[in-house]
Amino acid sequence: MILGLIIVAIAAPVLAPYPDDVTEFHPAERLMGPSVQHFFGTDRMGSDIFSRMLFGARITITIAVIAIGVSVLIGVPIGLLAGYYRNWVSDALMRVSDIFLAVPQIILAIAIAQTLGASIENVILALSATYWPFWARLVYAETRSALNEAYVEASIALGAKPLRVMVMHVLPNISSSIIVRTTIGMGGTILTAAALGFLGLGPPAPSPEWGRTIAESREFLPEAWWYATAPGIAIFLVVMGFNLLGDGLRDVLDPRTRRSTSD
Amino acid sequence: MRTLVLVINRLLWFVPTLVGLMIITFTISHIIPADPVAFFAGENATNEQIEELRARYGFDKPLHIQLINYLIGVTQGDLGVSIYTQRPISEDLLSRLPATMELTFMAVLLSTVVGIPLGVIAAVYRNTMFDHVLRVITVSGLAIASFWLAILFQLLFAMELQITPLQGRIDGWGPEVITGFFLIDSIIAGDLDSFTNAAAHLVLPTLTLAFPAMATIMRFTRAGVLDAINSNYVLYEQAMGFPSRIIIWKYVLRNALIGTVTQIGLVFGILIAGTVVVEAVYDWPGLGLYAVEAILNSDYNAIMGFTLITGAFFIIINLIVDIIQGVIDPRN
Amino acid sequence: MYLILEQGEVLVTDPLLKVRELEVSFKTDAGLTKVLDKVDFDILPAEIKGLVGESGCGKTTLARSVLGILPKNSAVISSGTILFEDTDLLKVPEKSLANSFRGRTVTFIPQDPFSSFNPFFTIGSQMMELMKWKSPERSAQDTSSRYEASRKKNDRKRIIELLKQVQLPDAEGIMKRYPHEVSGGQRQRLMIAMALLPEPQMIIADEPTTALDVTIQAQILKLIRNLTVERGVSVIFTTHDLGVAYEICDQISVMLDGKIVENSDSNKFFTNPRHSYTKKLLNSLPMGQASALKKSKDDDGPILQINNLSKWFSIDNVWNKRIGWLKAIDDVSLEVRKGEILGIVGESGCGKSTLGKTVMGIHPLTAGQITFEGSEIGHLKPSEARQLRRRLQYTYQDPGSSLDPRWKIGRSLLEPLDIHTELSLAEKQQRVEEILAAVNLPKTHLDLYPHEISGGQQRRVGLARILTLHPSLVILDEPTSGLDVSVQATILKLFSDLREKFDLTYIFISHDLSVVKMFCNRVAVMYFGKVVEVNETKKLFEKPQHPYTKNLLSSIPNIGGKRVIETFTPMGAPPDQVEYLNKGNNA
Repeated sequence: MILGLIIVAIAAPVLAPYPDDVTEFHPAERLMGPSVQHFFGTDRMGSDIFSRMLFGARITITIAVIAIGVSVLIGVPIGLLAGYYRNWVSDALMRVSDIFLAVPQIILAIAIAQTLGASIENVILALSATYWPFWARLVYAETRSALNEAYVEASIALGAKPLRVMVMHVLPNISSSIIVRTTIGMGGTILTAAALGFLGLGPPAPSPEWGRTIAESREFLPEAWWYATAPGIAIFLVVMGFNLLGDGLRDVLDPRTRRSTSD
Repeated sequence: MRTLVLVINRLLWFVPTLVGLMIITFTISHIIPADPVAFFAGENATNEQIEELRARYGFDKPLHIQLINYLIGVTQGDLGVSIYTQRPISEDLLSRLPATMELTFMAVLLSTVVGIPLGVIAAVYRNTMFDHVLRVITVSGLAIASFWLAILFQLLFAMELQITPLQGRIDGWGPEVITGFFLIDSIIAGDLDSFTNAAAHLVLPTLTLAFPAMATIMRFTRAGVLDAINSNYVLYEQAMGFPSRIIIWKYVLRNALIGTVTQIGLVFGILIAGTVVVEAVYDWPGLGLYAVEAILNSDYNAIMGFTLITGAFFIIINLIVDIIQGVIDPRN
Repeated sequence: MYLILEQGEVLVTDPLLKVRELEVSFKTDAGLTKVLDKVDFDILPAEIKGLVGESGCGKTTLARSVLGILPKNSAVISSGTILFEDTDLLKVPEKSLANSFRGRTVTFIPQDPFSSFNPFFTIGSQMMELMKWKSPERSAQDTSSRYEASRKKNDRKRIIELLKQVQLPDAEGIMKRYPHEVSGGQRQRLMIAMALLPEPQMIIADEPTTALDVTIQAQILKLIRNLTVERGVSVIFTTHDLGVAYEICDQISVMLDGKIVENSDSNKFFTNPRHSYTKKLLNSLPMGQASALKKSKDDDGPILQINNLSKWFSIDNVWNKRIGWLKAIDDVSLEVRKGEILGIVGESGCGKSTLGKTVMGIHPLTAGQITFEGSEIGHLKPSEARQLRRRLQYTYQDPGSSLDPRWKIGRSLLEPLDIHTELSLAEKQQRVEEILAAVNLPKTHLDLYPHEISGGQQRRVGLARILTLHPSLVILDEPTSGLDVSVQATILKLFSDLREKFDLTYIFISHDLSVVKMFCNRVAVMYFGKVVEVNETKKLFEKPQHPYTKNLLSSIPNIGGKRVIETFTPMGAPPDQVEYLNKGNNA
């Protein structure tokens, strides 16, 4: 499903029946219900919702991938270093991430996105700034517990240097939790990004961003029911896809603990 | 003893965390080259007018002075004045707090009362049809965008079936404000009509808000119960012939709930995040809606005040969770 | 009101439990795996019957089948009967089994008393819960959840009475505590008390002493035997330890691969085994003579010298302020001579593993000197110590967990060479292959992950890994614990072969006195952080000097000799290892 999404996002210009509708208006075809010409109907500007949704997928994927990528790149090294060395720097780093975690992510993201102004870049910035502590915390905790494992101790006892231990032993062994967290984090990020869009903090009109589309549709309810339905289902399917993928990865990735059938 | 120390430690960190939070929000909102005053004053304002406004709200002073002034204000309960409503932000927030509390409380109630038993049953009858159905619900609960769910509910229950109000908190003025909780106030006033009316308005927002929280609770309860079921003490209790209802609903549940309680903080995080969008859709006059209005009006002080209050609330919830956990887990 | 049987009466009674042609399989990914294969098993009233076998032989599955607590999803009982006093338990519905059989007619003593208590309820409340449902005063037909106050009072009295019989001091106080607040030996006493409370006809004890130290084991075995014999209760006692079986059982059944291969009287069993597997088991037991191994060289002086070594762990209060010290190792001096095998024995918590890890530099030392091959290594910087570690190596108690689970064996074996040498890859691989052959592992194992090989093979890999660096002194931390006796014997043989081949000196840390007796040249006895006695193995076992050594030696089951449970008397309270900075402030 996720693979499908990525293909759709890349191939949007080809797949979309009306690729120009992202920016063009057709006032004559306003708010038409689903039909053969327009699978998901048309919106307030008379644009094809199906086409706009395909382009919306691009925005969503871009936001999620970059925001999560930045969060991982910031959070993982911080967590690893803070977990490996026990000193005041690591304490301070963890305290800072605690402060970020003290507020629900969307609240902080709202505050940041609001001050920066509505655009894709700023949404990405807002999400990265609020999500990195998750990875820092996770990696920190996992590193601390990995350091208690006999195989890490054994490697140190053999004379391995800290960098070797971190990169060769600790990181690979905690990678599965990082990957799982990242996958599920994608789903959460997409939801938050959509919520920002819905609140008017995402990319500005006429962007086909899904959250914004749902917000636009509200004034035409209940008549134009298709207007809100399609992007909502799209968000739902994509987020669920990432969550299921995360759950699946959790079971597959670990060579030690193949889950039994009981779970 | 350990719990007490933990709580005191948490309390000691309460203030630094809040200060840190303020610094972060403050920095973000002030180093960015945006000019709220110019925005508020309108396009036709003269430079003098803008400068005057700037001076009135203290925007003309250097950043660190502004920050210190703000921090001093906060210690005196002064969160500044909203440029939009022209009222002290602390008053605004306080007047809207009960509406959000009422909604959140109902959602917590609903999600725990439904989520915990379903989680237990799913674990006991794991890999049956029932478990699979519940798993689908869980997965959807975590994947659905709450603003979209809210709109769907409105479309179905309020517009098509017309069995619930579309939005708002109550028709008319509502009961005399005593606690600010309409359900309680109307009972105090003996006003049955207000009560049913307020309750009817609560249904859709509560359902929308509770759905993802319920899914989370169900998921953790199921995992906790499964862990407990596979433990040695359950094997022992079975070997000694304890009645299975006692094993599950007394011993296993108790142990699983300890794990679930630690996640309550997470659940509140979901709920608070949810209130912002849910209140926006249902036009629910609480903190979330206030925040959305503040966003639309670029009301920085109001947004900061809101962030601060939610942050403080969230930290207090986690504090309570720590205490509860200390009380129910004898190993602390 | 205990049923006391005359001795003559026992012999003429019919079996209490008759298992016939029982077949049990487990569902796995590869289909059904047979765990019990046409098992016949009898036990008479008032008989203690040992069910002996190595891990995976099916003894636990048999015990659980009788109780009716096999995992519902994966276990399949394909044929057979389990007759208890002529009732086929397999045909009794689960509800009435749980209500009137389990915990009432038959009770259970688990292997791990710690995890078998629910951690969130007091011991007293868990015992009262048991009595609420299973008190002898309550009728088996009663399914209500009433618990009358008068019965409650009687049941409480009964519990306290029994806690005294299992020799627990302060019965009232213990009932108010949580499971983590009492010691391992006390927990197992509580489990015995709970098994006896419903006045059952039979008790199933599943490896009840495996997790315990020998001196505690001796006391627990004595308790189980005395209390069940005086009540005329039958006991099915599963164990992998032949010594334990000898101590406690009247009759012994030996299991191998899901079959019972031999039934016999426990005296005859040890003097006159019939089945070849039984003979093999008995032969691989480390029994009898003290070490016949010669030192590989004549006395060349010490290779390692430990002077006044201390390792204290700080005890902090909740504010992270130090309030005292746990003296894990306290002023220990010890000398290891080139070419010898020095055993270090002691019970859990005595500091023997900490000693090994402190010598290795895994734990920084608190005070003292460690001299290895002439240079002082106790106070080195990590970078200097790294070089010295080549010649001084350590194998872990659990070699499975000391290998990175994500690395193939081959990569793990190369790692020490990567760290310490500049050899080319081909040279390294050649050296690894030589070592692998020396520890008798096939080359194909290089491509496997640690979880894909057995515990014995993991130990060989752990050893091979450090041997690639050609060390001179190897510290072996509990190298035989958790291994079945037959595997244990081959591993010990390997150790002694390798010692000659690579000119090694061993420090052999173990709690298993019989292995140490057979394998080591000299033995040091540790007791609560101190070395209380060091001597030549033979002298130490023949003429122990320190009272603790004497006590320890007298607790080892001695197959064929006088039973320990008849002779053993426990020692008084141990010395305190914890020292608080301010007396009286030990909250």
